[in-house]
Amino acid sequence: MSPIRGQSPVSPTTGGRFTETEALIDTGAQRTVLAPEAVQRVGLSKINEADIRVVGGIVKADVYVASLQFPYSGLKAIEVIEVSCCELPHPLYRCLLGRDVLSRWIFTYDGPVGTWQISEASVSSWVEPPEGSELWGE
Amino acid sequence: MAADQQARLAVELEYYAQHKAEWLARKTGHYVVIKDSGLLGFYPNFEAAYRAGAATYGLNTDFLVKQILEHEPVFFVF
Repeated sequence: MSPIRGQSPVSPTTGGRFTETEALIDTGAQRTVLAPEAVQRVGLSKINEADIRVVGGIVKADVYVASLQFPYSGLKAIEVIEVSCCELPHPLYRCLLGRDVLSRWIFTYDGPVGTWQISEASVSSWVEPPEGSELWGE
Repeated sequence: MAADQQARLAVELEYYAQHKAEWLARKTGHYVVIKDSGLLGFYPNFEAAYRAGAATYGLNTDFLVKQILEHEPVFFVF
C-alpha cells in the first residue's frame, strides 16, 4: 500500500462540491472506502448499504456515490463510482483506493526496488516520486 | 452505522426486499433504481442506473441503486 493524492468529487455526482484528501492504495480492498468525515465534508448522496469485512468481523456500511479525480497524475477522473463508508484505522488516510479503482489501471509494483507505477491505455505512466520530493507544490 | 444514516433509504430497502424474489426471476445481475416506494427502472450496469436516477431525482437526494443478486455480497476491505 502506498499513498496517493486523490480528490473527490466533482460534477455528475455532487454538483460541484468536493474535498481533497490523501488516499492509500490498498490492493487487499475490493472496494474504495471513505472515512465518515470525508463523506460528510462533501455531503455525498447515499445509494445503498453493503456488508464489508474488516478486521474483527463484518459490518454494515453505507454506500455513497462519488467522483474521483487524481490531480497532477495525468490519470483520468472516475466520474461515477460507489464508495463504502466506515471508520479507517489509520488517522492519516481518510480514503482507501481499492481494486474497483485499480482495475481501471495497470498497476506495477517493483518489490525489490520498492517503487510502483500506474498507467492507463491513453495516458502516460505515473511513477511514484522519489522520497522527499515536493510533487504537490505545498 | 449511525442511526440517522441507517434511516436513510430505509423505505427503499424495504421496497427492494418486498420485490427481490420477483425481480430475481427476470432481472438477476441488473441494477434497480428505487426512490421512496417507486421503481424507476432496471439497468445493465451501475453507472447507467445512477445516471438515470440522478437525471430523474437530481443530485442532492438519496435514492437506492442496487444490484439484484440472490445473495448479498460481502466485500473485503481490510
